[in-house]
Amino acid sequence: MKKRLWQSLCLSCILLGFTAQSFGQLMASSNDSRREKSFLKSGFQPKKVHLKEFLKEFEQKFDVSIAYQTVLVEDVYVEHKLAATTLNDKNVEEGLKRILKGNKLKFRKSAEGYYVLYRDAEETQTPPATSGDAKQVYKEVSVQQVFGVSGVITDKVSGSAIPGVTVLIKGTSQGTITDETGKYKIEIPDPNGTLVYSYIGYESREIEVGGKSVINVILTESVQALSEVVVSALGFKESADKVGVSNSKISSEAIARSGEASLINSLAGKASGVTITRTNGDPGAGSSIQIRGQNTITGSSQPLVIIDGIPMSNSSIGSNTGGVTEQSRLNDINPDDIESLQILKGASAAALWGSRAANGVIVITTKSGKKGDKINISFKSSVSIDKVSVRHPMQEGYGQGAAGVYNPTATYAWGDKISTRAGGEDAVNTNGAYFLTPDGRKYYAITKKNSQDTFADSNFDSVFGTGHFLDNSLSLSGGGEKATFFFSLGNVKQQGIIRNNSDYKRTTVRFNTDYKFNNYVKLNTKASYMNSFSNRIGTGSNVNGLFLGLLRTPPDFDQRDYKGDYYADSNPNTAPVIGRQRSYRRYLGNGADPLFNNPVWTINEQTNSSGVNRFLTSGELIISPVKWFDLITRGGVDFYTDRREEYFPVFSAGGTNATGAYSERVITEKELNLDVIGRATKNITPNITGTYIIGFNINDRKFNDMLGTINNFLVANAPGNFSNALKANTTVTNTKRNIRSARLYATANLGFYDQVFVNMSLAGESASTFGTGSQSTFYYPSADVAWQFTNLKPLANLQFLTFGKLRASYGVVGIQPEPYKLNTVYTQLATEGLTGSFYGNGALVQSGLQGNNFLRPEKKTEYEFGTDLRFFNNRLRAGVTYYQNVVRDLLLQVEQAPSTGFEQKYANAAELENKGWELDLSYDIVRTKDWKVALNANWNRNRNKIRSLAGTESILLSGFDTGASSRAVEGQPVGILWGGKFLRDANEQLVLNDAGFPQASPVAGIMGDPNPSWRGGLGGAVNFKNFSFNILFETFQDAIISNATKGIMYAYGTHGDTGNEVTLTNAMVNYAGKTIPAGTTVRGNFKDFGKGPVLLDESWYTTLGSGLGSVREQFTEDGSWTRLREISLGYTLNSKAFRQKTKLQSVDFSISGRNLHLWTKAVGIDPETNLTGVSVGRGLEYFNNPPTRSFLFTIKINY
Amino acid sequence: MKRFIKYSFFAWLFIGQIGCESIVDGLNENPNSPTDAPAMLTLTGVQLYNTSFHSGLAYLLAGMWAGYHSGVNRQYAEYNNYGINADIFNPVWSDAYQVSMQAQIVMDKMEVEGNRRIIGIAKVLKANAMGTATAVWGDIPYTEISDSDNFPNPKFDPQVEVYAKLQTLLDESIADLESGSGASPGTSDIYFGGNVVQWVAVAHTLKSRYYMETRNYELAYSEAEKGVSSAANSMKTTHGVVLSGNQNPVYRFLAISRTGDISAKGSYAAALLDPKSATYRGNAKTDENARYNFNFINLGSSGYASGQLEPNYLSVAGGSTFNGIYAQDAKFPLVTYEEKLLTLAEAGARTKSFAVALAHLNTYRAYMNTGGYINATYTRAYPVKYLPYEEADFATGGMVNKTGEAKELALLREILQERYVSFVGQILGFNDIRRTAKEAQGVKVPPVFGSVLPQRFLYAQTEVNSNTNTPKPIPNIFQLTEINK
Repeated sequence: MKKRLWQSLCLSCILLGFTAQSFGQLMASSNDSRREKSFLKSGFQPKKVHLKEFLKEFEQKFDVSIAYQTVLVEDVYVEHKLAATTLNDKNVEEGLKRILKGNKLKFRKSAEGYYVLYRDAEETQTPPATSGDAKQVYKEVSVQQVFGVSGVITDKVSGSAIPGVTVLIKGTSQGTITDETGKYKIEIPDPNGTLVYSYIGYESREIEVGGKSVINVILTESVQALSEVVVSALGFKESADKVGVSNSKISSEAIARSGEASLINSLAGKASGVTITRTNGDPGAGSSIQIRGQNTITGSSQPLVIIDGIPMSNSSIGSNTGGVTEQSRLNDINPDDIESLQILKGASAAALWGSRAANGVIVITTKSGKKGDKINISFKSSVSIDKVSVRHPMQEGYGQGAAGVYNPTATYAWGDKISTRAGGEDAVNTNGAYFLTPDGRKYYAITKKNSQDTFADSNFDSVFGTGHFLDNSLSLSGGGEKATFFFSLGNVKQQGIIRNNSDYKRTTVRFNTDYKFNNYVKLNTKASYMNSFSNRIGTGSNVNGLFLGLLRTPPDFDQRDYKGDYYADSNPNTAPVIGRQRSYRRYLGNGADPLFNNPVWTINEQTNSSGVNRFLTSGELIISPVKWFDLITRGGVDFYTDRREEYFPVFSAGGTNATGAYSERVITEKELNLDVIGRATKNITPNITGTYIIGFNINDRKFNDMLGTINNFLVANAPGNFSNALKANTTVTNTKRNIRSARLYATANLGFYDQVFVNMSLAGESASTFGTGSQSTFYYPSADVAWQFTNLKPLANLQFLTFGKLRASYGVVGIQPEPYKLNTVYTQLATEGLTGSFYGNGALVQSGLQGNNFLRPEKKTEYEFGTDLRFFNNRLRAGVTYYQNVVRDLLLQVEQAPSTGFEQKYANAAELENKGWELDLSYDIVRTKDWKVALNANWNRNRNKIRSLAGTESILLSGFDTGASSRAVEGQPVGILWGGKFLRDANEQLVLNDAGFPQASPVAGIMGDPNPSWRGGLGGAVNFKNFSFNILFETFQDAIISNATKGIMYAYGTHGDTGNEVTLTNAMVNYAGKTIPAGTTVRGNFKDFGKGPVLLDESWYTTLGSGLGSVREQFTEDGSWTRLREISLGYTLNSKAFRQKTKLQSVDFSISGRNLHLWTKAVGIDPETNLTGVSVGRGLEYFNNPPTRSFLFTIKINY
Repeated sequence: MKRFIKYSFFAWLFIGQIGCESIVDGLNENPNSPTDAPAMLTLTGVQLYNTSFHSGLAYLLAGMWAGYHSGVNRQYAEYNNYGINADIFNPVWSDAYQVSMQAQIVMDKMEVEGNRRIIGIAKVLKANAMGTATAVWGDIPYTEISDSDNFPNPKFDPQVEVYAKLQTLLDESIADLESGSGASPGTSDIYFGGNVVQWVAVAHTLKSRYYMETRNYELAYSEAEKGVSSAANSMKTTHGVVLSGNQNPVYRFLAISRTGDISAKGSYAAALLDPKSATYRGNAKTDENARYNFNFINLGSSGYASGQLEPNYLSVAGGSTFNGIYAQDAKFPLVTYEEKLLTLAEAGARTKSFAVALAHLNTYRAYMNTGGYINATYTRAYPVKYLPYEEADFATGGMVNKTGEAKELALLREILQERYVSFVGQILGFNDIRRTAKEAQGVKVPPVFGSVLPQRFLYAQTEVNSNTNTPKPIPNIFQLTEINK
């Protein structure tokens, strides 16, 4: 208690102390450094006000920007009264017009929204000759007139004239300005002089007159105007050209264009170095984000998400080899609320987040309102139609059974040849047990199978249909001089491709406000509420899953009658068992456990729901006591509750569910975050600019997970409630977690001669998860430098190279240890279905995981070098980056020899490295007023290698302990596929038996690398007038996937390959050692393992050649893919007539497609999938629910 | 102003750093699990780990390779063909060494308290697990185990030495138990409630078992004489009907977790016990109907292995009128009265006389004639008959001498076969057939694939991965262990 108190006191002191003290101090000291006083409030009232002063006041008052050449306003004064009334006028443009009128100045509004002042052309031609007046310069020009030059200045892209361009005689302050039609006329003293043409937002040009009297000039938009604004890890805007790290920014348009209902998937293919892997096509399914390869082995592999300055949870809890596919919490966000999304890939960019930033940081800024006289209303509605995109090939030639003999309860489809059956109705025994469907059909025991009907397609269609979603979002925004707001409502309603219980609904509300109390204090708040509800369908290794049952079902079993009553005999007095499940192994429903679910039961009877309520709120108070200093206090809370309910009615598959099972799980996460940041911008000399930040962060994460389960229902069809079971069949478990970290950080950004920019930062962090035996504060330094070498004099005027920057960076980031690993704990024993609490007085045993008091964060040190180049007036833009990093002190459960009594020890033990190249290119092929054709490409390769693994041969990351798994293996990339192999000799040749068949190796080994050797995205955009067309391809090359589903289907005899027939030309011995005579036609295939072709028949496919057997390597496939990720066609209706008539700004229509085409060698699957969802492991396919392709129609109405 | 910034920056850095550390202090105490537990509760843990080891995959594989049952579906179809790799053995190996580790914790704590009774119990349990481990794996880590600080890579001790050390350990345990010191663990001892006499008998039975396995039949006989004195004193783990709680692990496997993977199709034991089989071992004095049906069942299309004979998992608790050998709540045998009697018979036949051995066999038959270990639901419904044999039955032409060999050999053959069919449900059968493989009278289980039976388990992949002392390459499953060479 005492300690607590001291802590909180200490914290309060630091925070309040600093805040209050510094604020007070700064306010007090502002007497001498106070900003220029408002002329309106100053003590004396001069008759005239300097126009420059007025404009400053005007800019602040209306929050507009006004650009002008200094000469224009030098010594120009306006009446005080006029100025005062103008400032009180609400109409910005009217006011400007009025104030400028008397001074022969005009303005125009730029596309970016700021105002540009220029001299009225007429005035220039006949400048007044009054000496000492503002127009003195021009007077001089006219006095010394020697030579006349005139011309038109046009924009390079649009070809339109540019008014307001300053034309100066080089070396003097004499010049003129173009008129509204872009024309200028100037008289110069020397026909061999040089003219300088400059205009805000455009590249200045110097042209030697050389005796010409007409000089028409084409200006190109300047680098500065093009210069992207990027957001730093702390949420501050910076010029992309001034940072020494590579950034990937994804615009709100690109996110919207993807037509994905979930945010993470919409990022796919759009940035180099970023790999998005979806789990499967389930609505709301989680997806994994990987930035620059794997950076951890056992920690979280997902980047930190910062939204409006505060971290938000992107957890995906419960991803496993079975169960259902869970969601990613980042997808709670309404994509339409996002203004910009930026991915900080490198360590240097992310370093301020210390031990949470090793996987990169995603910085999201949500939309805010814009000032304006009207409210902006935007309504968007999308409809998507989704279809299953890939299907496993299935054989329809052979029926249920074994050894070529039909058996209606057999597990496998190695039965008789269906075409050899008699045809017609099956012969049945009507005197025995039967199954009665609700609509009166009776199924009796089959005594002779006659029917030749097959049902592979109808079975498929009984569970899969057309999925669809409807995504509506409405936003209102606007604001006045003090406050702006953005309000949005979003609603997504999605029905998956799986019929019935597979859906996702999300409703979001957001209200963002910016309020400016005065020039010193600003408050921004962002508040959002998200609600989602989703029904999930079992997938993967799960007898209650969808595909596991469906793909094992023999082709001659019709699964559509899945539920009914079982009569044990034909005696009319026999009471039926009501509501039995009918499955292919229990076609009469003659067993409580159907063994594998009938997929129709899975989608109709079982439920697995997840309901999420989430509040994500942040606030930011900015106090600016002096112009060059801001004190920013930023706090936020992310809180959600995920309530999951699972209900298996009685007679569901699996021993645990056949008697009914119900569970409810409540997961709560709460993350509090507070930053206090001081930010100063002060130039050291006019040529050395500087921005400095010091800040303090405290972050607290609480997690609570409570699970109650019952089975063996007392009442078969009772509602899901814990009272419906005996106490012995009721289990409750819970897990709590609290992690806190505190961080101090400082940054300095220095700019030298507008050419070299140096950014440095240092964060010192303590976290509750660090071991008490190790040091408790760790430091994360970073630095980057950017050199705009095209600002060097000799390079400044290169025609082809418009802009060039070299950059280099260095940074250290980390991954925190898991909490509560300091001590070895005792747990209630649970092994082989035995639970300690049922024996004696309970059985508490020492955990096999040894505690460790010396835990440190994993530390990643990264170097990055790169260049950003822009050619041909920015038409071709390229960014190249090379990075390499080393992650040291990787935390992992070091495997101990079980004979030591401990199986694992969590320790900082391993080391890995990543090296990679990233390339981003974009090229504007055509850029005219009506046409715009552009291409963009991104490419990257990453080489990941585990340098050391503390002597442990392999660590399971995900998958099956004894089957195919994704592992960490020394000397290999993280996630390498691992499993049983064929026996090989010293030369890696298969060791074959006498018959020519391979044998199983007693030890498992590496099967392939699921990480691609490279990936890339290629996009194209064509805009013609109001039409727009976009296309995006993505490719993922040289990655191996474990297609275990195929292997299992081989064993079950349902795969298309197992429906083949071969005729023997010679007698052959099958795997079981049986000789099959020449001339025989056998169901199977030939394969040559090295000693000539051997016959693969049932005896092979159900044992060594089975996906259930010990050799999993035979089911790895080339998982490379290329896909048409997105394609869209849009039209914007915004003609003047339309706007006047409807009062609407615009209406956008678009039609788009997602994942319309896939090129891959993998069979039956989309290799972009992962059995274990969002996990470090990857590359596993095992009855994963299928992927989708979609068509989308969108209409957006803007008022 | 500048001075202020400078000072406040340094002050902040200083206060802040202390602040940072104190803010996060003390939050890393595990709120979910304790860091210590009473030794009594860990003792129960030792007993359950030992149960899990013997009744889990180790039994399923040993039983499969001993011809008690067959793997017919999925992974088990391949294990049935002796196709298996080291990964599969991870949980089994781990369970064995957890018995030792948790026993060590109990012993260390009891050492402080001076409770030799509990130390003795812990030693017996450790000897049980390590004995089975060396029987199925051969050389195993033993002298350097359960001490990760000093021995992160425990060496593999030769099998023969492990057996010798287990005899010493059991001697110690008997001395500890008989020392009279130490309070009883009470109900935390799930077998005997701390009863020293019963534990000592179990220790002797284990000693006799290990002498049998190392073919020291003289000592095996003398230890067996001091062994488990009655069926009620057998060490069997009680099971119940709670799913994932206390169900019989074999039941759980057959009927809950891996339904249909294992059947009794082609089971050699079934062929011996099935009255309808050509190789039926019954005769005028022996009716195996009850035992056969207790062990095996064919439920036709309602069975998990559709239409095949299966290990009998029928349970009264599951609505059946019968309790099979693997019923939900069937007790799992670890050290039994049956074993003791049959050890006396076999060791007697080898080292004493025909008469002594026959007398022991008849004691066993008399026990079986009253139902023996067969569940009462079967002895009520099916004929049980195990009349005493006479010397003449083993003479050439006698009812138990079908091969025309000497009566001593015929008796040994009968005793070995009796052991074989009696040990259905235990790993002992797998050990027996390997021990007697070279003897003409041994039970000759025909291999189902190739021409040789597996001789051992593979070392677990986890041990291969992490213990630098693991033999490389690891011996394959057909390599004989030292004692059987």
